[in-house]
Amino acid sequence: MLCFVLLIVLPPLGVILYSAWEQQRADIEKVEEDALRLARIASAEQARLIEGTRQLLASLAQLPEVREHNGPSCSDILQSILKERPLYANLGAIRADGELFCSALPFSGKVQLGDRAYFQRALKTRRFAVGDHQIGRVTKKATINFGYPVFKNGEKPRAVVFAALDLGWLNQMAAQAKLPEGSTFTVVDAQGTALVHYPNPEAWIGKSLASTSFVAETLALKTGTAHAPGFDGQARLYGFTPLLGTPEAGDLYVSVGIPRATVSAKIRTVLARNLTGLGGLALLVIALAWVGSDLFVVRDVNNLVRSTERLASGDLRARAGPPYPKGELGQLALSFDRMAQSLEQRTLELEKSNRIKEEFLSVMSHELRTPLNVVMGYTGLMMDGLLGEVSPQQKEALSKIMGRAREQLSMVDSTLNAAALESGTARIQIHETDLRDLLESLKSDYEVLPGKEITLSWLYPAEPTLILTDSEKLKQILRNLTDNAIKFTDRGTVTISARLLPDAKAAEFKVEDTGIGIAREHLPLIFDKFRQVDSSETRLYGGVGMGLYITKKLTELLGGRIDVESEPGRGSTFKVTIPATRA
Amino acid sequence: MKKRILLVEDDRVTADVVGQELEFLGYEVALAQNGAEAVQLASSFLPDLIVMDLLMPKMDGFQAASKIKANPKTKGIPILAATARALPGDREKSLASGCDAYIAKPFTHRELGAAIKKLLGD
Repeated sequence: MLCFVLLIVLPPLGVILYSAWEQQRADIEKVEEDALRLARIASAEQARLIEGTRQLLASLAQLPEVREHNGPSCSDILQSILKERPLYANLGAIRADGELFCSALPFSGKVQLGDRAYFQRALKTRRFAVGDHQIGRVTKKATINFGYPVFKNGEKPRAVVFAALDLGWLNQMAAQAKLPEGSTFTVVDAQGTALVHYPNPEAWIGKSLASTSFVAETLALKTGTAHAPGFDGQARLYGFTPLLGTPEAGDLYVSVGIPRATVSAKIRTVLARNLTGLGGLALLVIALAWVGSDLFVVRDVNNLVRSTERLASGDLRARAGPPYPKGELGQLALSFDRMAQSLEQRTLELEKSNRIKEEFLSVMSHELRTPLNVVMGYTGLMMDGLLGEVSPQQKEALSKIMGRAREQLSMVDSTLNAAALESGTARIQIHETDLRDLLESLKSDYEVLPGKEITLSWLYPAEPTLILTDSEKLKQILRNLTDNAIKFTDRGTVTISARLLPDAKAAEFKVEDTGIGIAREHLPLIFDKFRQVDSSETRLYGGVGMGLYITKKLTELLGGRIDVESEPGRGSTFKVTIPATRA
Repeated sequence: MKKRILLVEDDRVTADVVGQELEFLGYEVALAQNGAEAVQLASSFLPDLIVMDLLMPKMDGFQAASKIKANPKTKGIPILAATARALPGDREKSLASGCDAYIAKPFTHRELGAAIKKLLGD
């Protein structure tokens, strides 16, 4: 599903990132253009202002007060004009000998301005003249001064009117341009000295910025754009161009810097918006996929899994059930249900069949044992002389009847046990069993051995040793093996041992004899049903050949295993290992 | 005074041989031929012990044992279950239904005597 979502989301993500990159490039170009345009506007505005200044000075030169060198009246007029024209720092008039006689700003004593560039140029060229820019020592204002010659009936100018244009107007323009936050507006002269700086003019004006990279670039290229850090280190896009029309004043350059972050921020905003949209789309796709898959796939699979689990845990009525979804999943559900159906039917039949078997075994057991109870009961009574005197021969006969009755009983037990084991009706009852008790109880059953020169040796823990198992089944296993060992051993020793293995997770039992042993080729067969190694031995040793078969089945029922080692003529060792704890 | 034993057994011949065994062992014996009789005789005869066959017509030994154990008058009488049905679970089932011990048929009078003595604490 993740792949599916990725598949849907990746292409638009690529498009968004690419277009964001593209957009950023375009925006940078646009901002560069903006910066350059602003710089050009500033430059053009400056040109317009200079032209305005020329006209202003031309009309001032016609004033009689100026022509007649009427200082006080002239000063009054200029003062009132200055009030209306805040772009100018000062207006005034200088006599041809260089002495200031009229000024909008108050002055006292003789002020010689004959050395000023605009004054000399105006006198010399007899035309409108632009002076050098200068920075007021007190006002910290950068100004450019303009001069205009005043004539009265003669060829020689009688005076020069001047206007000091405050470059601070550029600051106002910058403020009105609503530049993005962090933008700068700078005017530098040919030496790289800041004449105007927006914002914080006080901090920068008069300082040499020639070493600042964008200023260096400005001085080199004159018109253009640059990506560079500003004085404050912030990355900006700069547009720069010369201020027009002041060849005599030396070059001035205006530059507009717009923070690069503005572009990035704008792009980021768009990018974030697009990515948010895409995220929403992805969520929607995931939700759809989830709901869809839950409805159409996961739900069906879950249903099937639940049904399987129910069936596995023994609920034979578990079905995936209709309606079956279309496609393979539906076919799977349908065949699962068919399988469950036949499994249920088969199991019911098996259970019924097992019940019948169990009942049959129960009846068989009852019917075979009941006559034996009469046979053994009366025989026992007679043997003990309780039903009258018995002769030694009669007593011996009765003893043989009793012996064979017991053998028959043992065979009945074996057969019924084997049948129960095979039909699956045999059940185990796990409980705490003390190995010592078990072996002691078994030992007491073998205190009298009929007519054989055999020693029984018992090895088991001296301390109580608890294991979890079915003690009846375990006892039957050990009894069968012990009976077998005695049966196939004429003289020697039968050793029965029991111990808990070191990890305490299993118990090991061994029954070793010094009997006839088993040929190697017969070893694989001895646990088969109705098998004795040699049919002639059946007559010799008796029995129906069920003992080891039952023993193996019982061992398996207890979750253990049985192994045998044997050497013909030397004896056999049977080893039984069963779990000592609950699995 | 002889101790009294109630033998519950539906098979006549078995009842005969087990009855004789019990008499030779020195007990006074009463016979019940099914579970219903056993419940009745348990409260009228008031034996010291009951030897109970489990597989019987009318009322089986399991039912009879639980009825006898449910009656305050007879609940103290020990019951020795004796059955020719030696199938898995029979021992547990008989003990659960109120029997105090279990002996599998066939048995001789010696085995029966030993089981009874153990149960009576003699």
